[in-house]
Amino acid sequence: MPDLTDLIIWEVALFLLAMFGIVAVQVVTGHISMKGLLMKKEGDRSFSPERVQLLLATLAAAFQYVSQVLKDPTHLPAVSRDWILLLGGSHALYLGRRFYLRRTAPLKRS
Amino acid sequence: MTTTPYLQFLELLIGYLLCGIVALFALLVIWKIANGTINLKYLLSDDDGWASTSRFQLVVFIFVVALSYFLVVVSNVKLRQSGGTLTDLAGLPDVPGGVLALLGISASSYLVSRGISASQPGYGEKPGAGAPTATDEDEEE
Repeated sequence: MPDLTDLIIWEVALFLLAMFGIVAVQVVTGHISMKGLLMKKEGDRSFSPERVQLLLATLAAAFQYVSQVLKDPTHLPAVSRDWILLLGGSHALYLGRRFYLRRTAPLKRS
Repeated sequence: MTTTPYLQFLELLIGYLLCGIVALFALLVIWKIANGTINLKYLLSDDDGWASTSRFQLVVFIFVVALSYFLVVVSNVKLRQSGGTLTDLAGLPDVPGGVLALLGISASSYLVSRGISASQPGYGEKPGAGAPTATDEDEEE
């Protein structure tokens, strides 16, 4: 009979992998819609640079954090002040631009 | 206080039983997602059907923190099993303030973004909605 601890570890690992796998497959097959991810919601639905910078900052922070955890998995690493400032600035830019467009351009219905 | 073999057996039995119940729930959720009963189509989309950047970044951060936390717990368990420094490894690992700040920024940005969308005139109305139809009037009566 397998050890209870190992069983729990396998159970959670399989659940997380299955969830991640299902979401990834559904994104790739188009079932989870990514339409308009980098487009403005206001006005002419054109390309939105503030969304691109938010996406890049998110992916960079996520990659950096995961690589830190993999380097030393004995504890959750602290997030440096620089990364928090970077992400805070990126989010502020995204939200500020959305707020500005909301006041100047009408919402476009799909 | 000493533990009798019967109590140890009972403890182990309850552990396996709980593990089995949680596994059944997990399988049920995965099965329902896989066959479409739980629909993830709008996981990243707003009410208008277009993908939302703020939702996407929140999903990414939640996956990253959940995966990292799981890796740390597994690593600590393995260390404990191999006789590592037990004093540092008691209980669940601490979550640093920076990680909470990261999740806080991410979640509040999503909320503010939703607020901006919802404050726009006409938000939530279906295209063509306006004058009440005969069906609406019937329902009111």
